[in-house]
Amino acid sequence: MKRGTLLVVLVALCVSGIVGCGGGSIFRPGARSSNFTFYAIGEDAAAPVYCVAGVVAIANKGSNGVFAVTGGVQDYNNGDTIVSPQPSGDKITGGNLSLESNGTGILTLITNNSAVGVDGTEQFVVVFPNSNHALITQFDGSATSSGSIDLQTSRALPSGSFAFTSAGAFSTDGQTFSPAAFGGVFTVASGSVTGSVDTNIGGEVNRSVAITGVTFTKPDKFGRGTVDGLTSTHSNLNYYVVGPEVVRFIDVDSATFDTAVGSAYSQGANPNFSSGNIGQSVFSFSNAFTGYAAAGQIFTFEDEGTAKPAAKGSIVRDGAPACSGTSTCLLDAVGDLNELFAESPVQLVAARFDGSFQLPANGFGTMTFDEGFGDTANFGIYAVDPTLNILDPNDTTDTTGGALIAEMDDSLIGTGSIVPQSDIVVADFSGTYAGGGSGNSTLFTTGDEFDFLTLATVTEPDGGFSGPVALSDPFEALTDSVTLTIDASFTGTVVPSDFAGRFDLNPLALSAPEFGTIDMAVGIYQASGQQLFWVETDSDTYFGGSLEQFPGTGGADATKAKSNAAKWQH
Amino acid sequence: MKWRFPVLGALAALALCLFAVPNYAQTSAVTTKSAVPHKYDITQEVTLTGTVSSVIKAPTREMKMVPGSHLMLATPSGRLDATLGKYAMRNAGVSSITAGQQVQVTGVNTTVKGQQVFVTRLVQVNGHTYKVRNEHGVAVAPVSGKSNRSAYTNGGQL
Repeated sequence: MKRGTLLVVLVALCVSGIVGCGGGSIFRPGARSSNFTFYAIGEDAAAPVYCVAGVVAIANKGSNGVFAVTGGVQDYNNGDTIVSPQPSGDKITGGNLSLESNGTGILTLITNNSAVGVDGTEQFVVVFPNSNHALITQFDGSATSSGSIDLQTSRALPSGSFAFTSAGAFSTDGQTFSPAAFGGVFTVASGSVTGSVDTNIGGEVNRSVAITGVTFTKPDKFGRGTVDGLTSTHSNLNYYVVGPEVVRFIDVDSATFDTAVGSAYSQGANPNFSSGNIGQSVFSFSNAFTGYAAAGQIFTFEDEGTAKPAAKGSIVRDGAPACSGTSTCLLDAVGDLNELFAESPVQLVAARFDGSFQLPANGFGTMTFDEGFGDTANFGIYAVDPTLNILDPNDTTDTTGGALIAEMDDSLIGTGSIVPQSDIVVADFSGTYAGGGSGNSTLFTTGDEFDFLTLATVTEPDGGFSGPVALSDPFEALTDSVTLTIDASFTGTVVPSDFAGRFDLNPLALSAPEFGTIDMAVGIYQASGQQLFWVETDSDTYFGGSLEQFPGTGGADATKAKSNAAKWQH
Repeated sequence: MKWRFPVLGALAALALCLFAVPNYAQTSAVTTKSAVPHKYDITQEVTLTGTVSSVIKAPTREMKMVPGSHLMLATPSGRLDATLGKYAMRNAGVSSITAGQQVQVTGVNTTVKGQQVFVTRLVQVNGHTYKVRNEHGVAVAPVSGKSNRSAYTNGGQL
């Protein structure tokens, strides 16, 4: 593995609503420093899956133009050779968030654990679509991953009802790792947890297992505590509070070969869900260990009734009654899927299929895809507070509600989400977007992970898609010689497909001086102008991820985005 | 995915050729048709013995093989493409297999995109058995053997 020279990249956009531009602060007015909760999952040099989560304290911008890291704590676990010491975790002793005057940046974390990162120092590329939230990718050559960092708005003990999922790797034989996924709901009162969890470890599925004897311990000054046994009896977990409604948690077991990281989202003050809560929606799910990703959109309805088949190019049945109640409802769907590492690899573009789902009052439901979408069939669905934005939990203004999902098939193990599809106006997919992707490639290896972040500009009505890319490919999976580069770029044209809400981006050209151009076939599904999901469906490479809009740059403000996007600086 | 290079001047293009940067031409193999799920059926497993004719650690796209590593075996019944999945070559015992060695493979015969392949779960060589897939056909990755951790065991809540 090579470790490329790391340069400071940063892109930040001086757009309205982003306080972090023009030498300002990414923090709330008056704050001297803020805590941010982060997590990521990916592959490191020693193991197929590693997870990291923590809280970092970042001071306001200094005279040297950078934001100093003043402290924090993290947990790192690759399920094998590296796990942060417990109960202390890794102390974050320094570092900085390098934000140039009009750029996003790189977060450097110096820890007291020489086993992580490069001699204890980790670096992440970051792109902030708004001041409270960024996509992150580890970018120091020791590992590659995708995740997020979010302003921490509470350090209090979690309370109330939550939905959760997590993913990672487990070994049940002591010899090999298998992919693992978990999903469920729980209620926590004074730290005591009751609930149910679905588990899928290497295709060994257990549904609706009772969660008993689990306790959230009192969090420390960083909002960190333990919640052993939440996902599985023998797993020791630490949690990190993001806010009153969101918690990240990570497996820190040093005794067994397991690692996982996940999130829990509030279900609201008084959860009372029904199948009617899942209406027209966009779904996405993936798992880099399993080696697959999917995205699509669903239309839900009560029953066939007098509904007429959908017109060509539409997933909406004419006259289909809306879904209601807690009984089973039906769904029509169109989706893109890349099961690159399935026993029989499958790539599907705009594939039509049917299915059904059911969501009881506690938000712990099931969803089934009928034949037609590869090997995917069975899911658990775990409804979240209708006011929560799953990708950006501090943003309550758009793309809120929906559910977490976990695949419960014996050959596919992964996690994802369903979010309401509230806006499929083509012109609203415009502006500036923070994009991220995580995937595998067989171009030069048997299937290692790569990750990227991009700051993309989408212009309408021509559908132009372009922007700089930070590519993390430390295992030379996608590019034979380049390991880390900030000099890459995307160009392409977004074309609305026959299915309203879906776009083709084919080819999406990834270019860099080091490796020329790689053309990718990509499908995009629009939940709203603010949030979209994309998946690559090539036969030798795939990625899945999201696009999150910078506020004030879309729709009628798109021309502003176009002018700002030119302000990419190294 | 398709690799290409931007339109360059003649000198630039020549320079690229001289430095032999790969220029792949490959079109997406996508379909909008339904795909029939392919489940690994352990009841259909067979164990075969053969001589390794070649080891393909990372097939090129021109080979049009199932992603992941492969052992090409000569067996009494003919040539066998034993697909090992994504992580097999992380196992030192598998990655050290060379042409001419006798190996035993356990798995299921199937057809992928018109090609007969042997979906391998176990590889036995030099008296050692290596698991490259689990009982559900899911590709598994070897643990390093460098830590003191033990197997996770189901029980209780699970």
